[in-house]
Amino acid sequence: MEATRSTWGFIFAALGTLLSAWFLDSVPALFFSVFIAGFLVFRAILFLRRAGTAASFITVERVAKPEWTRQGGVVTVSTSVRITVPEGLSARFCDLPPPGAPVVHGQACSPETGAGDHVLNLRYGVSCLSSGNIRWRGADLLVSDRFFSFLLPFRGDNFRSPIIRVDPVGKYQKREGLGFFGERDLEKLTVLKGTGVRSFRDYMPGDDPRSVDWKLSAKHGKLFVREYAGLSGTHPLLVVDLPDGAVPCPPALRDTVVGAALDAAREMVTGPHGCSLMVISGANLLSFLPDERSLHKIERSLLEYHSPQRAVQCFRTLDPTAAEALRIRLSGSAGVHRSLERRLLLVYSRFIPEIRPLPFDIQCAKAIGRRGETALHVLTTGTGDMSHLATLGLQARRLGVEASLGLPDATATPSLVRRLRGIGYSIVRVV
Amino acid sequence: MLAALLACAAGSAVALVGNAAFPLAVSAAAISLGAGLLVFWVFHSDPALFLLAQPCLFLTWETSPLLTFFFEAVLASALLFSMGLLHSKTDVAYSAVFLVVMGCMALLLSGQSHVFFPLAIFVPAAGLACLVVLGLAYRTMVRAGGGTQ
Repeated sequence: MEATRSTWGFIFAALGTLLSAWFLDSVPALFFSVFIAGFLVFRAILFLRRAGTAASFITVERVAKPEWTRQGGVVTVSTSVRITVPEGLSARFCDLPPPGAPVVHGQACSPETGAGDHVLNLRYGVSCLSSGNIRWRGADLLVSDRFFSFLLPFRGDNFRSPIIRVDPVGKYQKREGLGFFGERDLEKLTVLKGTGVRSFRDYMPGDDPRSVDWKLSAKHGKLFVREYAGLSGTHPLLVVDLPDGAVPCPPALRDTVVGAALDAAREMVTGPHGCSLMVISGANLLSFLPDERSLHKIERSLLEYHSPQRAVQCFRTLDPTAAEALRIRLSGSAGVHRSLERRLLLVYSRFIPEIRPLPFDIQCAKAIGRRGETALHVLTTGTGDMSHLATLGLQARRLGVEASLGLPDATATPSLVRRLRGIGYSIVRVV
Repeated sequence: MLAALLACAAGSAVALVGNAAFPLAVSAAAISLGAGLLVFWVFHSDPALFLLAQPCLFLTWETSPLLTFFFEAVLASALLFSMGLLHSKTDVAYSAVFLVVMGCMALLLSGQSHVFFPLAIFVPAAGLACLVVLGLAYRTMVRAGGGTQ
């Protein structure tokens, strides 16, 4: 509860007269001090009772459009507040937008209103800068009279709805290619249109309006798009590597990766083969969607896991083929006659037949080795253990699949990029 | 409010006719009125007018503490009325309760010649009043927000 300027005047007057009464032993001064202090207490009690009345009659209805947006998108909010302000009070209502969502147009606070029943309508826009499911922080009601003002915080669940789902945003450059000038197209996501119609699918935002099949759309009451037969491009597998929940990772890194993946998936899903998506976290396969055409399913599997716990870690995992290559190199080297090398060779010889590949190795081999998979795109935060990326790179190299890797700018150090190129990724770029 | 100030200042001066403090009362009334007029024209503030009247009433205590209380009651009612805080019947009832309590205190204090004893009573009473106000404020906040965060 805050005192207004005139109330502070009263408080100082009461204290001044009380001190005078004490030092001058003046009974009338004591009376005036008690009278003024009592007056303030009387007003405070009356004010609080009325503020309680105002608080108990408030209802808030908030509508946000759209409720599902991309990071940085502007959401228009309409808040309708019904409030009963008792006689002698004035009130001011302030909506508290979600954290990380500043108001970009309009006003989230109402002007001061006097006594009576009021319906306040607030219209404003917030820019959603943070990602995830975000909720309003609540609302504040500032009630005041001539002596006091009081900020009432409304933080209950019914004052925090609705929830806005904000998808992270990232860019995915599909045109970067191989070759000295990047002239060789690596991904070839674009369909080269032929003349015959291969199939029909649901219309998605961004589709060419000329490809809408109006006859079929009219028949079924929803928009259908023709897919033309023709030379289609390569069939990429998108792998999204989510950060380890046990290792601290800035949310911006994860958002960049997931945003880039969403961007890529939105584009791929309109392609002839749909989008093949593999969501992993380290050597743990979280979901695999082969040739998926439903963007909703892809978004759900991407956003289902935030920072999963990695049940399997593959530090120091040795691939049987790599171990065999090491053994052959060791047996052919000149120093094999020394005792250490001989013992090592013996260890390898006994150990290699017993090595069983990790389930992740088999999963990678099967996912990359599917018919038609001709490109592998990995998106990772570049934090924590990289062994699983080496496994992916190795499997891609074995199956003759072009592998590229994207990681956020903040983690793309020259040494890491060099290391990733060494483990089988022909392109390492910043997303 | 200015009219109440004028009435109280003039009343206190008249009440002190024949008393040794009469010249002082007239001077205090003139100064209060002058300052009141200045406040009224330059920066209208009812609480300031209320506080400006206090020195005149201070002198009236010597003649009659009950008359002082009566002037205070008039001033407080005028202050509430001019601020728009004395409209409903509830306001009038609460103000009446407050003035009755203050009247009792005036009666209690009028029989005292020294400050110490009543002050020893009023300080704990003020503490209790503060606790009441804080408790009410907390209750209002909790009821509004369903808990603070």
